[in-house]
Amino acid sequence: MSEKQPSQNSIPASKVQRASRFMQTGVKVGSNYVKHYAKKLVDPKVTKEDLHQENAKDIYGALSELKGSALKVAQMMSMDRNMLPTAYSEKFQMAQYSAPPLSYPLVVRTFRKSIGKSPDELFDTFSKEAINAASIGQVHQASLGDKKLAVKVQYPGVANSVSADLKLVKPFAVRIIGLNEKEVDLYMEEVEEMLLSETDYHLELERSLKLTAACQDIPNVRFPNYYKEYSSDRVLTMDWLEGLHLDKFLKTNPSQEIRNQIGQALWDFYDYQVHTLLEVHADPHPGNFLIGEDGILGIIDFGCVKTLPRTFYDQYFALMYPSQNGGPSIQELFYALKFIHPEDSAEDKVILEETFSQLIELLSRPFRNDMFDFGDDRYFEEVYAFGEQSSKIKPLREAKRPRGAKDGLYLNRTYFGLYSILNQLGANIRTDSKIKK
Amino acid sequence: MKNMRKKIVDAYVRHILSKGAPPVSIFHFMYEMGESEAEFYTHFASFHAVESSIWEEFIQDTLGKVKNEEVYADYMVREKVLSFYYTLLEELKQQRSFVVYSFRKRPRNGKWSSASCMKSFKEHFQEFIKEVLFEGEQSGELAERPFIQDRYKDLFWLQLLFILDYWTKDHSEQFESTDTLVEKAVNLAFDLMGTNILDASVDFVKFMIQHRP
Repeated sequence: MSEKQPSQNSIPASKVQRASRFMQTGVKVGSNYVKHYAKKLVDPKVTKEDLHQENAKDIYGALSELKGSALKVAQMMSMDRNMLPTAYSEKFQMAQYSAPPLSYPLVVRTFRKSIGKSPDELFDTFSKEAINAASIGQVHQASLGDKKLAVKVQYPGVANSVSADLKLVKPFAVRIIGLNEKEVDLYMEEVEEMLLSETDYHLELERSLKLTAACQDIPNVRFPNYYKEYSSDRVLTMDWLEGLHLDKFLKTNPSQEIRNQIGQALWDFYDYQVHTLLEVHADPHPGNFLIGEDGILGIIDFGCVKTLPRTFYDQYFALMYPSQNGGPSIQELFYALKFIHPEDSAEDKVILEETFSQLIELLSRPFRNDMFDFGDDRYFEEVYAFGEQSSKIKPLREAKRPRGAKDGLYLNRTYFGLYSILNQLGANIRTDSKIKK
Repeated sequence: MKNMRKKIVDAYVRHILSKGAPPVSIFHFMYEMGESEAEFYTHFASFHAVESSIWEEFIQDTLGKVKNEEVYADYMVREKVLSFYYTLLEELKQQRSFVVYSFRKRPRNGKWSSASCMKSFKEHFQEFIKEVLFEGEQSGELAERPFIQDRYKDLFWLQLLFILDYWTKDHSEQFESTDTLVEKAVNLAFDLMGTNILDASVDFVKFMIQHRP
């Protein structure tokens, strides 16, 4: 990805502008298809991958101008590698690190409005420029005594534009990326709910404090301290964690040992959350992890925490680990989790059962062994191939109802997101789990 | 003396906000306050003058606060303007009902600027803008554009009216939409005033006209 990206200086402001932005992208993507088939006539070697590359570039261009919720959706899709062709997800991942910054006077205003004091009055030093951009806010560096702090400031009006932005993204996700409409609906609902909760920094602070306290005993994991007195609904202050994002960390050529250690920490962190807390940091995109020089994994950003309902949890993991002594059968569980609906035709039921069994097998494969080498790309090619193949299955593609409980969508995504990070790390780890005991 | 002036202003605002219209006469207004009509004229010539003085105070307080901020000196020109707008909106918010009333009844015809209570407000604002723009030219943040740049201060006045108009109609929580509007409008203005494609185009056209083969 050496080409220069279009810069993100301009943000289309009104809804109309944003809508027209998407239309332009639609047209562009359409013309990419035309170009693709024209090229293919001349040169049969042109692959579908090239087309995806072209499309991804245009879609990224449009999304990067939108910021806010649209960017968030791009991020979420980028994690969901089994849902998108690789080319798209690579482009989308780039969206994680750049968005146009807020001016310093507006940062001051946000502070005054929500805390009642300006950053200069609160901290000893405060960076005028944002150090980092997140999807719904930006991060400034501050200091207090000898303590280095990270201060997250939310873009004003993000909460208001969430729903409108998502409405814009939906037809785009359905037509251009070619997802099943019912599933996108369900997905969008979840995303909307999550985005709205993410705009509430009070909530994030509470969750962070709670999860951090609960996860204190996991080895090789580090959390920042959060500071209530310097936080509000729009501002969140925490310790500044030193460390590198995954991609930069990998460029330093870390040893296999270190990569395994990081991978293991990540695995343990997730396993503890899912199986002990039933509450998951459901946003495993690489931007939320900082790897320190000491090989310790720093975890930030608890905006997106998903609580798993107990019944759902039992049913879902009964699928992975069918109980030996009675209990509901796999078929019953498929119905209970709404993977298959009683109204489906007999023919479809057979296909669906087969497909979902395959999905469950894939998802739970790392659990089945004591050790699992996530660096082995064969497993991921299989996952990807499954994604491609299942998108062609008729009852899945043309479903009139969504498949899989919406909690399931989340958990699948979290797991595939986790697996994908472990894959990038190339970690070979012990896949211990509380559920195995 | 000073105190009486403030008492008149406060009573006037209170009257406007509770009755929705100016008092019937200066005599009646002062009578209600238990003062003589003559007392009024030692401070103001008319109700119009009272309203003007309120607007003038808004901008003077704003400019005072903005320029007293420690960071102000380090600000880029566009940040100075942004900071001005945010502080102004904060000032106006204290008396939003009155601002909305006074702003909405401003005359809309061509001559409104001299009739409006915002006349001296406008003068102070344009003074500030001129000062800032001059600084921008010195620092090279703004492109030099003879003739056009003389009109900038009027364009900024229109921008301010546009922002105030938007603010009086803003229903978003904490008027966040206005904040975003300010950010975008000011950035747009300064991006247009900096060296950009416009200068290159003018330069190109000038060359083609002067050097036709």
